[in-house]
Amino acid sequence: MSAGSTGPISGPVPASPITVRPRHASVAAERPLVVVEGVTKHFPVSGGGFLGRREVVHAIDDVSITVREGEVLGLVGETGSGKSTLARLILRLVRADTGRITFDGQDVLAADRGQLKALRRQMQIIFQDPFSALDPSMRIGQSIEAPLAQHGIGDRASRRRKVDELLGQVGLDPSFAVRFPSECSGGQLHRVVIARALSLGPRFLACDEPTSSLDASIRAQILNLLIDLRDELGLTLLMISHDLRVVRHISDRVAVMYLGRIVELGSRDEIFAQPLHPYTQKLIAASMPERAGEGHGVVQGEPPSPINPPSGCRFRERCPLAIEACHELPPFASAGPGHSVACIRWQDAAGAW
Amino acid sequence: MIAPAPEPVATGLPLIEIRNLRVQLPTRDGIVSAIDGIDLTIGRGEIVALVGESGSGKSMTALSIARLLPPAARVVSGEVLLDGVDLARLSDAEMDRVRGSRISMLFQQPKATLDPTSRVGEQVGETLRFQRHVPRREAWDRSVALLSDVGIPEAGRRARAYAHQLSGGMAQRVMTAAAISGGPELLIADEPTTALDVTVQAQILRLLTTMVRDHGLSMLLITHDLGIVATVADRVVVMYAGKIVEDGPTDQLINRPTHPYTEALMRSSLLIPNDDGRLYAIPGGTPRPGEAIAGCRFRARCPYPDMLGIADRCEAIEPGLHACDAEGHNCRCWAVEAGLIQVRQATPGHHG
Repeated sequence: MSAGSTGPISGPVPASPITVRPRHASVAAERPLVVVEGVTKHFPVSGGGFLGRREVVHAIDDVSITVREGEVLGLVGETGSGKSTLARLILRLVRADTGRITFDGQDVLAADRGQLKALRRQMQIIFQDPFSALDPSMRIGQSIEAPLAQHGIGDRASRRRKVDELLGQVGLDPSFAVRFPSECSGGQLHRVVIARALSLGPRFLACDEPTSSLDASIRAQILNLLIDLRDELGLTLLMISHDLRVVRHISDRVAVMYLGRIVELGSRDEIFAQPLHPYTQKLIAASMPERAGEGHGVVQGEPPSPINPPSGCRFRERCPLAIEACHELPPFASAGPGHSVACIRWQDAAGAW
Repeated sequence: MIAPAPEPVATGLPLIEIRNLRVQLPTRDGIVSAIDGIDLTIGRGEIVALVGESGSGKSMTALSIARLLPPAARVVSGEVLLDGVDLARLSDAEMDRVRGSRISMLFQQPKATLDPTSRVGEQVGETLRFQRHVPRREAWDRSVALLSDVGIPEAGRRARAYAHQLSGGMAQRVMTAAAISGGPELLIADEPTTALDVTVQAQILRLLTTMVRDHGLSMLLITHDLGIVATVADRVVVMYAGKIVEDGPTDQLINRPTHPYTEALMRSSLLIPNDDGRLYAIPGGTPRPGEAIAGCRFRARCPYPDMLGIADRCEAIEPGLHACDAEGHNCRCWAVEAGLIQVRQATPGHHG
């Protein structure tokens, strides 16, 4: 099939120490679907004035990451870490300044209008707030049908049938099609937004904080739905969340971002059992009451401004392990099979966990 | 400066006493009971957590105490007593003096709560200037001291900042300083850390607890996050669809949740999967506002009525809030009252 079969033959997936969620059998192959290479995105800050120094927000700085077909990649980080920007860059909702992004081998940045439209059928995104993602004056059915109509798929009648089918897929009764968003609960609207994202039959779904605005009892319902859909449709998911419990449950691999850079990447089990970056450790401790109780989860200070990020390691000013050498940019280096970390002191950090 | 913290167990007159409070709101679906007859007391020096989902009435309860209900809301019955005085009987001017100097509030969106046009130091000093009649210069100095107390570095410089120059965590520290500036007896914190990043949440919770304990305040902490409750509160009150369904001392309630709703809420909050890898989720949703419910409000989502063969009773008659033990643990459930389900030992999966 492909001429350059130089890639490594993927070995058996090692047994996970905790059985949280059964792996989907057909997705063992590690075929890259989305490849991000050395991508940077800076946003100019308005103001600064005449003669003022032009300032930029370092939203994403030299980020490389691969999303494998069929996996759930969890992306965690705090406000300003760039995790949402990364998702928008992949879908080309914003354009990267430099670097390369490919979807199934196709260059996303170089795509022309027609190619981009075709690409967007395969890549969809859902956002945190379903109320603002839906037009309040459109009935639910119209909202779900709109992407199909825009892409000229089917006739009116077949699209209506598709809407009913999509509503069923997300666990809603077909009668929801005639309701307005104001007549639905938050959890129901979330299902509607997911149905709309699925309408074009995407292969890749980016979920930007999909459960953050939901009550606990509904959050679990939506997470179960996303997992069911992934298994049924063979979707690849990028799951963005600041909630470590959500990421822990749903992800196969986890990437941790801090101020525009990826600081750690590994399998879900590795990241939670043996986090190596001091920031990852703080983040995990903060979400685990038994560790937070001992003060592990409390990070000194606030995240620094992404306008003037610290030189070298961006976490160094808040890091208990920082030394002089941290003023140099740490390499993002392998720390074990499938586990990489951007910290020169990861071995000491590992010992302290 | 640090006064010894009073014992968390209330002695004598409680600071706040809510009796049979009912609040109605007009909505598109008709008149809705946002709060449907609750009784709640907050002792001096006590931290009470009020837990519930959207629409449970927890925020309305907070607003009722501060008499800040939306204009359309109507208190149908009941009273809110502060030190034995019915707040409804105070004039607007008297109530203004209560707010800030006796009761103050902290909200979820600190940056939206701050005035964008005035320096934060001015805002922190407002209660002092307008209620305690402290001169402007002195109020400013005390603001700076308060900002320093709540952990803001270089408080003198930061006091001159405007809201947009602060991060969410810093803004919530500023709001905390403003809330305690008038020396209140009760701090009502409505989801104070929900909008903040996880690492900052831990800082703010620690700050709030320290401030409340050091100054001997009482706190009503409103949250949907049971993780917060476990580390902070003395007592927990769980609301569902406008009613209190369970309340008790924190470790009792966290380790032995008794009402089927509390138990289900805790299981679904922890996001710990079942054996088949699926997360436990409470089926269905909360009753629609205005929906007429005869019996237990949780009945439609509860497995026990059918399992125990008591569906008729659960559907027909609303259970009362009754004591589960001698330690102040109360529960509103027919199955528990009849001894059909026991006060549980630790929740499954609670220890991961």
